[in-house]
Amino acid sequence: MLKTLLSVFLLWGSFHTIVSAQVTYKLEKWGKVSEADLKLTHCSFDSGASSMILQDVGSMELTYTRDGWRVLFNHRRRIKIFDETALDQGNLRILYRADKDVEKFKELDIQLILPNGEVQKVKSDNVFTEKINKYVSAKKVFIPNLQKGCIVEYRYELESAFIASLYETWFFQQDIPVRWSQLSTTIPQYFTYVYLMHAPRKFDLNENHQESITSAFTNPYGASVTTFGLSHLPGIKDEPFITTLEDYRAHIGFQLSEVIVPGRSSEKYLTSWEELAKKMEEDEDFGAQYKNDGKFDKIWSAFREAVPENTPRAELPEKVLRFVSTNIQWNGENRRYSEASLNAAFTKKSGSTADLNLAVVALLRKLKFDAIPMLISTREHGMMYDLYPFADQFNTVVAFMLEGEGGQLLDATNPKRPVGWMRAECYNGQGWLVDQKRPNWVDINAPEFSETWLGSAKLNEEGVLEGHYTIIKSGPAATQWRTELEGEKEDAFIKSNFAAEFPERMVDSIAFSERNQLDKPLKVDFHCVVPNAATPVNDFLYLRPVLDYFVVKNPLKNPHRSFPVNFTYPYKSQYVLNLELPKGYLLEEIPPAARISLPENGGKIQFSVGKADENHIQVILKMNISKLEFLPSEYDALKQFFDLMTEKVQLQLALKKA
Amino acid sequence: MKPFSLILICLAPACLPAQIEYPVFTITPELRKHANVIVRNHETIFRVEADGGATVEETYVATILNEEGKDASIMTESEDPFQKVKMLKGRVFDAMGQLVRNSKDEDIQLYGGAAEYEFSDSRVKYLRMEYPQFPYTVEFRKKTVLKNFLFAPSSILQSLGVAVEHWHYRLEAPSGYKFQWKSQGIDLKVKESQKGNTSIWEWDAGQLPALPAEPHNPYFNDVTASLMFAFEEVNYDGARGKFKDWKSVGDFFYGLNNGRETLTPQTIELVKKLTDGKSNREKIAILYKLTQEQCRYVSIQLGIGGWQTLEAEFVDKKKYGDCKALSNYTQALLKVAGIESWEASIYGSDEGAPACDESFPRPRFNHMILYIPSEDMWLECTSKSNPVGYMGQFTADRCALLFTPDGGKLVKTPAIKLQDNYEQTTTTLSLREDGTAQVSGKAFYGGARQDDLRHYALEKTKEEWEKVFMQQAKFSIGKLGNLALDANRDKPEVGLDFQVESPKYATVSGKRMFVPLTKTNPFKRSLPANETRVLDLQMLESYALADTFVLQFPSGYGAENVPAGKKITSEYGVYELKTETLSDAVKVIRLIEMYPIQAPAAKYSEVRQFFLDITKADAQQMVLLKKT
Repeated sequence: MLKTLLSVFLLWGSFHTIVSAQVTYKLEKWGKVSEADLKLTHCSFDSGASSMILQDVGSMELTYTRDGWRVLFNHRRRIKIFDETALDQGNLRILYRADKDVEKFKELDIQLILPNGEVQKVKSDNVFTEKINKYVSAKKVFIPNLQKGCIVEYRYELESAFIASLYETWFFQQDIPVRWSQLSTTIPQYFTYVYLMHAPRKFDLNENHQESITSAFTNPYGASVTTFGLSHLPGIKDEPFITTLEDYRAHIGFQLSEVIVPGRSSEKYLTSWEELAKKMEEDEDFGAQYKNDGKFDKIWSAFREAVPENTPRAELPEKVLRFVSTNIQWNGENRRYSEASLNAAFTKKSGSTADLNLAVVALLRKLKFDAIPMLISTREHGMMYDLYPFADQFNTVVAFMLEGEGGQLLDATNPKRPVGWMRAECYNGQGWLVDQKRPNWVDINAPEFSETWLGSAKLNEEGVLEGHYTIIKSGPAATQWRTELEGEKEDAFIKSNFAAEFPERMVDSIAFSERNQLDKPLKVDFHCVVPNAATPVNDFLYLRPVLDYFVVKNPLKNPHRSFPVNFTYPYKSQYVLNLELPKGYLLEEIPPAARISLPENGGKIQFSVGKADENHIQVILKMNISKLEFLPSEYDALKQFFDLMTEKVQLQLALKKA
Repeated sequence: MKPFSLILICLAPACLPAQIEYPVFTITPELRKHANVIVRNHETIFRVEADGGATVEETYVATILNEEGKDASIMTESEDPFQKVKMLKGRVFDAMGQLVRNSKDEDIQLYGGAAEYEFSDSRVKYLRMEYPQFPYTVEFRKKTVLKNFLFAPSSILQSLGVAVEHWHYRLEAPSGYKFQWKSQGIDLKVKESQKGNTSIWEWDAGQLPALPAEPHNPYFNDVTASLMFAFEEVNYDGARGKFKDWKSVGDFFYGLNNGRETLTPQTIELVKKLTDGKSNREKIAILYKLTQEQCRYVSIQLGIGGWQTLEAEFVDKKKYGDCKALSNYTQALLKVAGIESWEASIYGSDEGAPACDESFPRPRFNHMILYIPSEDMWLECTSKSNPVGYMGQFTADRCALLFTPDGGKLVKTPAIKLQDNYEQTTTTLSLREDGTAQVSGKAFYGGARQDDLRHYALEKTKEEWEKVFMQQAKFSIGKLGNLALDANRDKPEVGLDFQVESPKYATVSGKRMFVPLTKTNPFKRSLPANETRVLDLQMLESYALADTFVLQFPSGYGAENVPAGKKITSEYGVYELKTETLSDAVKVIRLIEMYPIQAPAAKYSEVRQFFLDITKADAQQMVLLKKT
């Protein structure tokens, strides 16, 4: 990709002055469009695109207003529409926070530039304000008279009270190609920020200068003006097996670190992990909730009634987790803070992850366990920054119980989940303990998702397979089945979760073991009859011995991948079938055994068919993936790995009549 | 002495346990069968006011038995300039009937978001009352005030999976109020009474066992029993009319939408220039294409704009509009060219539509299309890619209400004939010793079979189509050599040409190769096993497929076993597979006709078996052997 970009730079020679490794893009003024852009018919660096952002210009200016310090965000964007399939680019939606004290949406100008250069201003009767919910509103614009070859241009300003994050993260890269994107920040000398960025390469523009600002509200002050720019960014779209696209889209975000106002001592915002932990432990909606008895006394007294004093100590963590998860239903929300109080969530029987897991911490502490809340940023929310102590990078809470050198995680969002595991979204590499004496980051390894099928059966001449299977699910696989099994009839459940490719299969004599021992693997035995497991054709019986497996088709469908594949759990599966052949039939040819490995012990497939004697065969298919992240350079190998696995799943054996 | 005083104490009201309401154990076992939700009580009072407005008070109490019934824990109501929710309260009771909590005002959420191409001034108020342990009971009380209304709300008594203990509906209106009512799926009787100047009508129902939520059933939107109204006098935002029959309903909408056809002088001149000297059919095609090329779909619903179209001039200048505006615009263009057309209301959906009753003028429509009487032609004005006169499965074979100058007329849109929903393909596979294959194909699709493909061919980028093709393919595709999708602009026909590399088509097992015959275009239909099917079966999709597969052997291989042909005939369709073994290839010809299925529950297993048989026949493979 870099090679293509370099060659594109050379093509753009007439527009850019290449200064050492930097590219200077000449910004075009509002309403002024070059002839070349009017005539542009396709994107040179993203050939399939039907539209392209020609220039995306943002500026975030921290300034003093009559309401105090505010960030003035100015955004100007110009989009070229190559063909009719991109006419939906003419329906704009700009989101902003509904509370006027938090965010004020100011001017919005939109115009359309026709292929002949004519500029048409978009009038306000095409602009609507949508109240999405109590937190978010949107400005919606339907651009009239839109045709292929047009250029849409809009600009708006809004004023935000979100100083700590300097309004919000600026994304250079979008789902359509971007020819030039730049962000300027104006930060007064009193403020220091840290940068949180992701870029595919060095910035094409990285420029800084000082300015002197005169204000109607304060004394003049100096400000640092920085501009970052990136050019020729191809469009980036969502793919499966990923944490979040936002981690991979080129972006820059900010976090306030310190404020030094002359005449006053400095206010540190990014202090230390100890300081942050102390602040949160003292917070009314966080630390107070599990430290002050009064905040959770209703839960405590109800718990004490349900779990008597003489309960063995070793059983208590499990009992606490079960009590909280069955008495308070998770409402689906991720929160850092308890919004109403733990007692209120208990009364309401419904709460966020903060309500649930801080309640777990509260009860464990009352029982004299060393329980600490742990903050996590879920996979969907994005990566964590252990270098910068700020709380906004986290979006949810789980409970952690220290035991000797290590500890146990507790997540009360699912009544079927045991002590030690969290829900899938929370496995994002690490978590941070909110404890001023031990404000540590903890590396979290996701547990292994494991499935096993053990079959013992016989095949008859008509191709009907009859016998017994035992399915064992371990780790998160067990929790998943236990959750799905709830309220379902056992036979309907097994039917829909076994051998789906053989629709005439029948199961009975189903016996589950350890159904309620949540920390143990879930086991089920059943008897089955599977018609058409083998197809008789003349003297042959063609058998497909692997009746069920992890996947039957390759889950990676796209031919290309531009960012890593990221699995949540390491995976293991085994299929073993001991099969008695029908009388008079022989397995004439044994397929060769296969052993395939991914580099760096990333994963392995083992397949073999063996003859116990002339009448009995054993088929074994084992697969495991132990690496969680595969780089784009490893994508082809991973795709082939899955292809090989599905080949073995679909493999057939020829049994010949002797 | 002690026991006696204890009894006294316990009789005192202050000692009685907290109010028990709707305990679950009182529900009779018959009502639990097939039920995910049991409605304990559903009472509605609809009060028509003298000024043409109305108030609605509703109480809804439901016991939720399991995860499938969770939707009943959410009560919603919409608000717009003509309708406001004055009160929305909820309570939750546990299985014993103990009150768990009351809702607070701040629990009520408001949602007003819409897709990027839509804007509306209506939003939804909702209240969620959940509880972590099944079963639990929710009670909602709601009061809505309507400034005026176009359609009286129907009352749904029952949906699939819902049993009803008690349902009551009460209509109050000034004496002499004229209306019609109809119960569907249940036989209801009305009780009439009078209170001063107010007439009262009441309906009751109870102890209704649930019907199981089985797929592919004939109930539209899964509603099994409902009460519908058609009020005669209509006064909506100043627009007045009488809804006493379909003619007058059509009259009202005709009046609302008529005369909004002013176009700019430039457009009028353009129309005249383009259509001068052409035949009617040619004029229609030219003007339909003009709307398609110039306009895009954007839906703006404000106030009565939900029912009344925007002026044609609006669409002319902005080049966007919703189904009403685009139909009206096209109508205006046609009028300039001297062709009369009528707008029509219809229910658009790929999954079918509710039936219209000639004798009951209660519209259930969500879309507008255009009809040209002189040519007996229908136009779908929101589609940028449909050929002229073709509407697709979205609005085929269902009732529509024409707005003519002589009032409303109920008609039926034409069905697409089975033979016109066709697919003709020829796929050639060059197999290789390692199981890989080069696959090239040529396909033609018509009618409903090309609806989706046409959309990709004309409205999506080549990249998007390639991604979809890869994802939808039923066989593994490694590399895309050539992929061309072409839509015929004038007929509902799409052609596909492709050449791909398949890394794992055949399975190699030593010296044998297992080759699926039709995997490049498999035919699979299935129904879940159900020995106790209660509901009738309805699967209306019908089509005719003719597919040829030529599978060329890798060099050095010969056929060991090639399945013989198979023909399966039934009243639901026909499947035929013919195989021909040549020296170095096998030719497979497959012919399928699927008829619309409307079968009684007793025939469910028979239909299921038919599907199993054809899926099995289609999944057959041939076995090639390496010649030593």
